Amino acid sequence: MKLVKQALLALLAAGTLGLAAPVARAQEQELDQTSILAVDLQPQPYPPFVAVKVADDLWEIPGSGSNSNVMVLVTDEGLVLVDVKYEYQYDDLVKIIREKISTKPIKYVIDTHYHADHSGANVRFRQAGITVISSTPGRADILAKKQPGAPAGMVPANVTFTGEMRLYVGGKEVRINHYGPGHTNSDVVVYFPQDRVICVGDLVHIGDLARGGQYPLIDYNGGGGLNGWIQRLDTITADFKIDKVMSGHGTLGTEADLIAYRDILERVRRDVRAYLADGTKTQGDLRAHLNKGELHWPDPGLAVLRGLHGLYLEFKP
Amino acid sequence: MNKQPLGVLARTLAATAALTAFGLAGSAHAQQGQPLDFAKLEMKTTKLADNLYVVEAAPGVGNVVFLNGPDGILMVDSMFPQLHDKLVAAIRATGATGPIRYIINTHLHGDHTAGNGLFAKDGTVVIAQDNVRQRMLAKKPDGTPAFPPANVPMVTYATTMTLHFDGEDIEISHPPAAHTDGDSIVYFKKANVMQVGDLPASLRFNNIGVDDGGSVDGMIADGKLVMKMANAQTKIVPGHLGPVVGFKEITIQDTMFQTVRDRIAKMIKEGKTLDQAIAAEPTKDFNEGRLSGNITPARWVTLIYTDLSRRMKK
Repeated sequence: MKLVKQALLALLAAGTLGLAAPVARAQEQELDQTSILAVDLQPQPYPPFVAVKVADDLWEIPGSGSNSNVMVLVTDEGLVLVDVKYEYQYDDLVKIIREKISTKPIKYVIDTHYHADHSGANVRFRQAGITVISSTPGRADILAKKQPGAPAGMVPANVTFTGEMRLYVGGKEVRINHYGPGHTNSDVVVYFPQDRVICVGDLVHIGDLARGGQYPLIDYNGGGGLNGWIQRLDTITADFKIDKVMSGHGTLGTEADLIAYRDILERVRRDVRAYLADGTKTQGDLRAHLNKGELHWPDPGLAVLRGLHGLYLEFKP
Repeated sequence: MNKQPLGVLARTLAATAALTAFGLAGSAHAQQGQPLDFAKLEMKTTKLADNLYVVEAAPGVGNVVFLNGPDGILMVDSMFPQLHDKLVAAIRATGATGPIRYIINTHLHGDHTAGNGLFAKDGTVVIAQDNVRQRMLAKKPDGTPAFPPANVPMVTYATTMTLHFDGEDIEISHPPAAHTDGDSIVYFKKANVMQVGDLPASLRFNNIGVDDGGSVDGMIADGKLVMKMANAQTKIVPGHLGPVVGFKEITIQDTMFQTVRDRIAKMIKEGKTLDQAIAAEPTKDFNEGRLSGNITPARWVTLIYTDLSRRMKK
């Protein structure tokens, strides 16, 4: 499970390092990216899916390996899904929904962002004639293959929006907002006002230690950024009354977990900004610093590669 | 919402306008105020592109653009339930056999949304701007729903939304309030076809939803906006008549809107009453060749007078 997650991170990091300085790039060559690609792209065994009741009308199908958490809203008219895991897990995903949650038709799928562990199964839902919704960049980034090594045959949403969208299904309301760049440039949050539950995708990681701690995976290649990310979390806490938070991976949490994660991001930002402030530091220096500091980013672990180059560019004075 | 007596009149006009037949304003053909005889209405289908058509409930009752292809059918607006079977028959007559997957409402008025429910019953997803849903859910003074709940859109957006369907990119955008505060412009980008709902386009006295957030100045601004969003080759489909117009018609409408707006504003400043404004016939030089439904020149003057006098008081 850990290996799979790290492989995905490496793929993302490889993308963000496309513009990296030659020295940094040489360092990354320690990683055997060919084998990582092979590991990630091939369907892998994963623990069986389970369904966990979150509220009277909400069920979570937690991540099982590297795939995303999924939320299912149940109404008399049909179901709304937030994130759908990988394509090769489609049959098992539908099976657990049918066996444990509901036999009502699936009406809408919402991608929290464009990464394959969240949107990979879009293709099967689209083939079934189901409306798949994402932000405008969420579609464009899949078409532009912004995620390095993403599975072949990725299919984006067929309905996109800017700003906000609302669904009204079986007397229930679903609010979908896209605020701007954060983890990627495509992140949307999905709010269920009846239950005060919000799905924030990978804008928050709660109890997700398999990702090498809580350090942010900033997909600079996909338009993400740390300043924007912190703003996004501030906007979310201002805009919604939140009882429960489903992050893209890891355990269900509360608004306090969301705020705690925001504070981790703030600490990273303060640390990086202060370190780069005198204008003399190289990207390599930043990397070494991140491994030494209070917030140390394990190296040669993969976490340090999460957007190192983008982080350097974002905070270089 | 403003509850002034004139506003109530305008609201009533807005609700009933499309239920009456269109006639030539100021001509012997005028059929003002006659209820629609749905049985007599004829569906005329015009091909706009390979897989894109407009069905017109003639004369002038409404235009429905539809796209057909492997993903199914997408429609803009839904006419009246009394026309449902005829509309579906017109769509099927083009060889379109797939499910009707989406309806996009250009705004809330019944001549564009009253047919929604019969399609939604069969699984069609109805899309509109947020304010369309909010206004359709509002209650009348007696506590009953302003619109049948079955016709209320179930997917809404705030600023823009895009559907990728049948190989076409359909961009739905919400312009500043004009005909209402929930207007949508629906642009079929590859085919270069733009359905503009009841924004100024065809040669008629457009209803102005002065109690639905619309205004004469908004209409003037959005007519110009359409000409910025579109190009000279764009096939522009108005909510009524046409069924295809271009910059020429929008420019003619723009001139009339601005001229009549200025004339009425001047009369309001001079302290003229509504009756005096109507009697002055400020549309007289524009009546020739313009079709009007229940929105006769006198009623059009009433709408503009109502709108402007409210704003000028502020």
